[in-house]
Amino acid sequence: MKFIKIVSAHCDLFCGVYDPAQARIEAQAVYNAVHKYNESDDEVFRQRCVIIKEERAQLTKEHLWVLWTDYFKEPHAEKFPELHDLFWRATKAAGEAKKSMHEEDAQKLIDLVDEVGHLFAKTKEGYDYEAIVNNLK
Amino acid sequence: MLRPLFIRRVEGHSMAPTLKPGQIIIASSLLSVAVGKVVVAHHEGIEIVKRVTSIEPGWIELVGDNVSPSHNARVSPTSVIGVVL
Repeated sequence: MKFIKIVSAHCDLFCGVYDPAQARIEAQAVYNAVHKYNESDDEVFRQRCVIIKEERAQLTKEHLWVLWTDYFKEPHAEKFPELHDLFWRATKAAGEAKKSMHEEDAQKLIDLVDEVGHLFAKTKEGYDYEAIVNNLK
Repeated sequence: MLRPLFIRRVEGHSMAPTLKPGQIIIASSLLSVAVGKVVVAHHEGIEIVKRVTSIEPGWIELVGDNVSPSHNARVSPTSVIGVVL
């Protein structure tokens, strides 16, 4: 029966609002917090950067989880075989960004969230992920 | 390209008790969409099966028969690819 294409009659929350912009904004906040940390000699300010960065990295991870487990469904995974590995790498990168004060780790998180965003755009007609990225520049 | 007849396997519970998970359905692109009909439509990159509850200029409202866990979906008329027989 596997040759028969699946049609989805899945249930969902009533809000049904999913957008990778949430994860992208938090990932950008992680990067900016790391950047400001590295620019500053003020220890109190640097401590605040660490706290904010860890909070935002956790939020990035949570927004990615919601997209991964709620928005994307089995037909998406069939259509985009890289989907599960991409989310696994992106959420791992969020975990790494929590531990690190290196800008390259924060940038890696942004890059992976962008991959998720571009994949999301392929599933939603008219959705412009580049507009989200450009607004954060 | 729309096919006159095509088959699909239902996944999920939002159309229960009319359609159950695993059930095979046949749909046709030759039938007219009308309120009350069960249709297959493209929505957020996948195919969904829901019942038409409203046809408005420019969009069609779809909802599952299992109302409590189901959510409405608004699709464009061109997103509907078939009516379930």
